[in-house]
Amino acid sequence: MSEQRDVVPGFNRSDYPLAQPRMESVYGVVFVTMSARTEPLLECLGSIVETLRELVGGDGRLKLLGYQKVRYNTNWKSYTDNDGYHAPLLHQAFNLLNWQGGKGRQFTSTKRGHIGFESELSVARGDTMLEDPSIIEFKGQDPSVGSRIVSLFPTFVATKHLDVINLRFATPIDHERVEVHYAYFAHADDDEEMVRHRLRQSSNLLGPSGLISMEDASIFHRIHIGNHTPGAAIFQKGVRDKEKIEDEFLQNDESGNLPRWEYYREIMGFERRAA
Amino acid sequence: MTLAPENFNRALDDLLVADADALDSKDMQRWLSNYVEEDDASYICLSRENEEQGLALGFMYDDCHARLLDRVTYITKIWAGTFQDYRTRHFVQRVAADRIDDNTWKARSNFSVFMTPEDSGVSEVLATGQYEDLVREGADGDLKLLSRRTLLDTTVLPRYLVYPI
Repeated sequence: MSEQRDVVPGFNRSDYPLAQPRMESVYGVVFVTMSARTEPLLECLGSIVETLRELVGGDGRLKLLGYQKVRYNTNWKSYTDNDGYHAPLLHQAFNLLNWQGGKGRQFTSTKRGHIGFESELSVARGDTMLEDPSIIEFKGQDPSVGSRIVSLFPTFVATKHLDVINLRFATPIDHERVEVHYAYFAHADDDEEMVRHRLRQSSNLLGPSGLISMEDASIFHRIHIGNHTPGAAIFQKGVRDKEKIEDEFLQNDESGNLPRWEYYREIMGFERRAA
Repeated sequence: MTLAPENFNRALDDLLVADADALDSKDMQRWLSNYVEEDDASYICLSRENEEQGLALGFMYDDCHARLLDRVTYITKIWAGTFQDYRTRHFVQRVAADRIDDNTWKARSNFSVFMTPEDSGVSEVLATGQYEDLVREGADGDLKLLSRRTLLDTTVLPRYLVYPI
């Protein structure tokens, strides 16, 4: 190596390389880490990889339909608290459309604070008040894999509901704003009619102007305002033992958020206060 | 009767302004009445970024008249009372129009939409872009929208959308 002038003695160019990302993928979803210490992907995901497989059509052979991109006026942590988890009964659209929740479970895998939801599909019954109810039809084969959510620490959320396959990439802009890119997919084996169905349903159901989820965005913002009031937010529902972070929860337990906060606390080096 | 181009431009401007006013007034019945009552009447709103990549996904995808009726139901019944409201002001400018058959015209116009959320009171740009419209000319020279594609230059919206753009 040629002699370096005007630098600290002992300077070695090879000590200052470009960042060295590592990449692995599973079922078509690409993961990149900038840290040499990150464990192999399957170890990082744990059992939630099976939920992810079901979510991306069983094998991940997906075809991109397009994006919806939006900024929400909320801190990224309140966004992740409330995007994956919230009780379906809170949705006005579900009530008005006679939509009942199916059976399901909520769980965490590994100590990284990932959360998975697996629910049977429930479809609106009776009069829907919609002139075109095809928008909420389920045309998939198996209602037992009708609804899936995979929420990976810190900000990634993937959902499958009815025939919508949606991966959400969230990036904090600052402490009061988070930008979310909703990517929607069809499956490679879909016929033309199914692609069209997914396109209509994806464009109209779960995004920032979706029939069901438009109000989520509004709620993220209101919760963020509420978080400025004095005191601490406490997760209560589903907590059976104040000393323990569990890994299985009921579908509507808010305690499913605790493993993520515990992992956040740990990597930030925050002390845990006595319960 | 068919409109001469100069008369068409004036009638089109009236339609564009009527639609902008209906949206800014949040009068969804008036918004609906700007569309023809034909099965394939449509309103589709998507980012130009998607369009340029050949991706059809939109923020709103109302591809038939029944869906237009449902858009009104979303806003007036299903979503009522669930969101923090905002005012909008649409500014619309016709840039091109061509007749494509006896009673149909193709028109393109620019828009910018300002919004003022009720809670913050701070005005900002909600979206800017172009409308690509197919416009039906009625027997007495009146115009209605057959289809509208709202192409957003704004790739990332600063807020969730309640009302059509």
